[in-house]
Amino acid sequence: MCARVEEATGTPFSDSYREAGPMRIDEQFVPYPGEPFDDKKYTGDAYPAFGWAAAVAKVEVDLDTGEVAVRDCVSANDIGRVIHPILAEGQVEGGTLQAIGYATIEEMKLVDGRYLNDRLATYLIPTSLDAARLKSILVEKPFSGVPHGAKGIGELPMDVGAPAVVAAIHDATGVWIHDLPATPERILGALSGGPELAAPGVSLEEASPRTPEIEDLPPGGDRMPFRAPTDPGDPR
Amino acid sequence: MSFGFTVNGDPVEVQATGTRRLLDVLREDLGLTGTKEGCGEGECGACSVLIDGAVVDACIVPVSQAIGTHVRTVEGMADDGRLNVLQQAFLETGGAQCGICTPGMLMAGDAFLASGADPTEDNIREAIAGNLCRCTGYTKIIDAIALAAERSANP
Repeated sequence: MCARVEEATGTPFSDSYREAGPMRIDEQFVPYPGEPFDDKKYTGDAYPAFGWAAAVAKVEVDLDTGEVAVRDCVSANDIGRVIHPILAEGQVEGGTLQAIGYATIEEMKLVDGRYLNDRLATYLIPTSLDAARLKSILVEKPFSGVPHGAKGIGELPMDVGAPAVVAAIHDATGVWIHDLPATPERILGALSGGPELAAPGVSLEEASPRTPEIEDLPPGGDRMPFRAPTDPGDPR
Repeated sequence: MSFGFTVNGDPVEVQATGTRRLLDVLREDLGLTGTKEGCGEGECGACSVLIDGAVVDACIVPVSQAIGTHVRTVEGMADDGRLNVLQQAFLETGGAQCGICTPGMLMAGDAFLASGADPTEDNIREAIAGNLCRCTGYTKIIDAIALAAERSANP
């Protein structure tokens, strides 16, 4: 939403907020005419209900180290009829912290298809000291096509946390971070106007020797894992 | 070799090699499966138990270090099937979701309550900083420990 306001006004979101105060945007999604799921033929809309979510984050960015601390985060989720409010809130809070970890520190590093950080000693997730007090708002828009009108919740809060953190980083520093996580390296790189770091999951050049091309392999092709059948008429 | 210590007040004597993990002794030799194994390398705190009141990761404690000590596990909390104040608070506030971190969180919370420290949010966060939770975002676990501290102070 911040980005849309900025696009429309041409000024930073925080300026618009200071001038206009709280603002509200109402939008409605009209689903396409669906086809009921047929249990026998396995056709139709298996997932006819949509969940909706929005999140706002407050961050502090250390301009010397590039470190981001998420100080506050509110996540509002339309999950249909809420069956167990306490556990539903817990799902939102937990999903939001996963999203914050995804946005700030969690990076899967792969070299030649292997994880460099394949354990909790090297793949860091937020501890209680890294987490903010998370707030969840449950919005109930029951869906008529499911028992009790309950929609899904588990994955939904995960979708909105990282965009909220990235928008807050932009609001704080003026730079957009295009690849997650927004590590100190990426923040300082963006602030100094240098080239963007590689997207996560891409092998580091020096850590990963180039995979040999087929023409580099010794003749005979005996290092190729699969050999194409030479005779299409071979009965095997 | 034979190693003697107490578990939740009961004396036990186990036959094992000295390097056998306390976690395996508890879970496999003594059948106390309440203590969970998470990472198995002392990072996540799922296997937290108390040795003489101190929170330790049972996955990196060899049983030889437990000789003569008092070990407390999650099984020692409930009294005759009645949840203790901390377990009850976890239940009411939603401090448990998938449950893998819960026994360890309960032990860390137990040690925090026993320490008598001021149950501020910051102090509670510090007390459970060695216990990772992926489900709750910690907020409801902190609420549970704060609620248990309040009830313990004003029974």
